[in-house]
Amino acid sequence: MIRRLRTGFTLIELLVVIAIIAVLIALLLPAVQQAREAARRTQCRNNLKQLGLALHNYHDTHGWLPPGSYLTTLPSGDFGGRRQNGFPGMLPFLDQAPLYNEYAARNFRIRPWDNGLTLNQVQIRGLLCPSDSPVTQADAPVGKTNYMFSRGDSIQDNNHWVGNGGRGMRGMFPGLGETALIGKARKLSSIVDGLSNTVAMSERIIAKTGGTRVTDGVTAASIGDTFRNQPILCQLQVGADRNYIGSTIAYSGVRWLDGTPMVSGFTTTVGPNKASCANGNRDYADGVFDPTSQHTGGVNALFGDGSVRFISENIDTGNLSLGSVTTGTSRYGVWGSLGSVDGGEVVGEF
Amino acid sequence: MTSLRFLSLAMLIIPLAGCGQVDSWKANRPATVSAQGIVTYRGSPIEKAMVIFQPKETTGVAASAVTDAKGEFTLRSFPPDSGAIPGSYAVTIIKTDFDDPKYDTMPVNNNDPDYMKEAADPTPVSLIPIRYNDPAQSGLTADIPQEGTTALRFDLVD
Repeated sequence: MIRRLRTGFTLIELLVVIAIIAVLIALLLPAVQQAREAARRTQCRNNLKQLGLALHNYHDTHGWLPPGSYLTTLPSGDFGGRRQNGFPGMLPFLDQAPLYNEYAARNFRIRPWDNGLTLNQVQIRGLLCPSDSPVTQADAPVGKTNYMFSRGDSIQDNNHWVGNGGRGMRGMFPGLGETALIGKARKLSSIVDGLSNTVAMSERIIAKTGGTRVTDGVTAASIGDTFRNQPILCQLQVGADRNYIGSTIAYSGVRWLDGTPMVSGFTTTVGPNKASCANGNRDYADGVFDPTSQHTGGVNALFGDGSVRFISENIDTGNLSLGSVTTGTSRYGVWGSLGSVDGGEVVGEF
Repeated sequence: MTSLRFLSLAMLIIPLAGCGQVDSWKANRPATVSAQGIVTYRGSPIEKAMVIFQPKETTGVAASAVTDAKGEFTLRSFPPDSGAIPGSYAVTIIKTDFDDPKYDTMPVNNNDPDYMKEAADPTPVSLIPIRYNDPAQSGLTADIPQEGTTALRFDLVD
């Protein structure tokens, strides 16, 4: 009898081993991807933390917080203003003193949308959240920002400034007229709801031109102004697939110095990762601009005390069938209460 | 040998279980019931009308829906989950031409230096009487019973 020698593996054995390895890889890959996203989210939080430190250092130096936007009339007489946000003043506290000096030399009187101005083209790495996919907007090669200044739970006229209408000033970073630049700016002591209960900054996805989804960072445009009295209408602008039904505009975060609420502000109304809506189709429109992110389940938010917390997209948003208030308790639940600086709300655990 | 195979299979499958977290906000929401209905105007169902249920109490939670091609809607208090909180509501219905293609051709990057100049943005036109947009004037109310309903009906007239 001839005894056959087994010198190798049978085909079945090989296939089984390959199958097992394939299953293992299939199990491992999502875990690896999750670990990478966790790392990106941590860096995203750290960027917000740095901005919190910069805000407090700014307050120590100047005695007030930077404005959400402020009026600076350009030497030529046209409006460069109401359009610059708090970032230029914060530059020395973000390790960008040379850049600050360049802006100071121009008296901060620049047009934030000026694509040709080299200063505007600077991209500060710390203003980008790595979880958001990188964008290149060919028609506006201006530096971008994922981090936004709070306009609170104000919707109507949240693009205005102190002394003009008096609405839309519930957040930590109201718009300021030039003459009111110092007197009306928020001080930490004027945030009577408590620094740990008031959101200062959060993140929004940088808008992708032509995008149709919430995760493209775009804003529904020209849906009329009824949604300012019934912000729940804004939620109906997206279907179950989080696709916008009507036309969209792409301005969120596309210019890092532009102080309009749609470009570098956010509201605390309909809740994180929900639809954004503008009253009209212009970049300076008022509207609903709640934070958005690519993180699963919510957004990072910086609070007045410098802490960074993760806010669930299921957070209580109260009664969204009513317009925003100018004084008193926020109508938009815990989320709205976190936005107002002096609403007097009792905020529980969040 | 067989038991070893089962063991290795089990070790592969067990780590798959135990995923998924429950959000405390979601867990503590008020209970909702199914609430469905239909919107008609001049006797025929209207599509893409926005239906808003405003609760009687200012601290309540509103519900909303968009009608489908048959004029039917399913209310949502906590979208995307369907279902509304039982109670009585004032109802508004909004139907505009905002999905008209003419709004898609607007300029996208109009870096207008004249910030507050109120330019003529195209404003959507209401396709139903404007009073239905206002909860105080619409005259529409509805009750959602504890057991839910599929019989909500709003017949709009000129």
